[in-house]
Amino acid sequence: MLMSLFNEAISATCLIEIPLLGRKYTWTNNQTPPLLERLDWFFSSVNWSAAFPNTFATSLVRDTSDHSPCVISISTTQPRSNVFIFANVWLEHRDFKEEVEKAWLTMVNASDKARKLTAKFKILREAQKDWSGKNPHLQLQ
Amino acid sequence: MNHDDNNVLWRVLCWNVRALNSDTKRGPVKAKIVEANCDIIYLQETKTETFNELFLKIFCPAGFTSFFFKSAIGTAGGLITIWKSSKFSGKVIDVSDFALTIELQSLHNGDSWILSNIYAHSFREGKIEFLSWFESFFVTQNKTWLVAGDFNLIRKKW
Repeated sequence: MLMSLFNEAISATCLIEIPLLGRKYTWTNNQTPPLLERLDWFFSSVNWSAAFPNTFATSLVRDTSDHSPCVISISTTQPRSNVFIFANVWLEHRDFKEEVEKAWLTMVNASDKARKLTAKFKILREAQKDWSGKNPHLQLQ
Repeated sequence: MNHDDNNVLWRVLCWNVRALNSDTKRGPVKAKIVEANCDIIYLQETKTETFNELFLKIFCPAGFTSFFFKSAIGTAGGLITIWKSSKFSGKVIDVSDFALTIELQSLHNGDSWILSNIYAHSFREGKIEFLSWFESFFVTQNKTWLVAGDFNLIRKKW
């Protein structure tokens, strides 16, 4: 009951929840087995989110209290994603095959075949990033 | 993604410390504040009736000299919001049974924000009373507002 009242109250205020990264619970009753709950919450107004779109919370190790200390970081810029994205349009480029071959044939020192394969993929990924970076028309819009 | 990048403008430590009124607690609290590398501190359940600059020095690293607090009643509750005086100037906007709301202004660029430090009751009637206050206090406003603390409420069951 209280849970839905809380959620309704949040909706009514238009406050936006600030995500807590890497932790589901912020409180324990320290019993065995422990009861774990998320009791600590962070919200921002719509204006805040517009001013600081990259506001998020993380936590520190809990020791002296039954609550985890949480740290809200406030930033205007979105963290740059480091995810590698393959664009299908690359396949149609005349240099593509040559670029892949060049990267794939790079010598790697690895103790076993699995590591060697991983190392080759890593080199290929970086090479593709470089190559597409130098050719703006190859980048995703 | 790197979540601890240099783009972070400032950090707020938000923590229900479960009492500052014992000597054994103050060292660990100071250590956490240092670890948080923050500019603003929200503490809940301080169980402390009064604060002054000398007392602050015991559990806060250097630089945290500005603060507003709400007294604990006996040894229950209590809130304090502390900030680096080199970065912000502050004034109290509202003090209620559940929250300490202040306005901080950046000494760097003059921008200002409203910050609410929350500590809600843990008993059922108190929770209902809190929710009705919460809804009316934060109802659609156009301020640049950050609300954080111990709500003593869950949003979903795991």
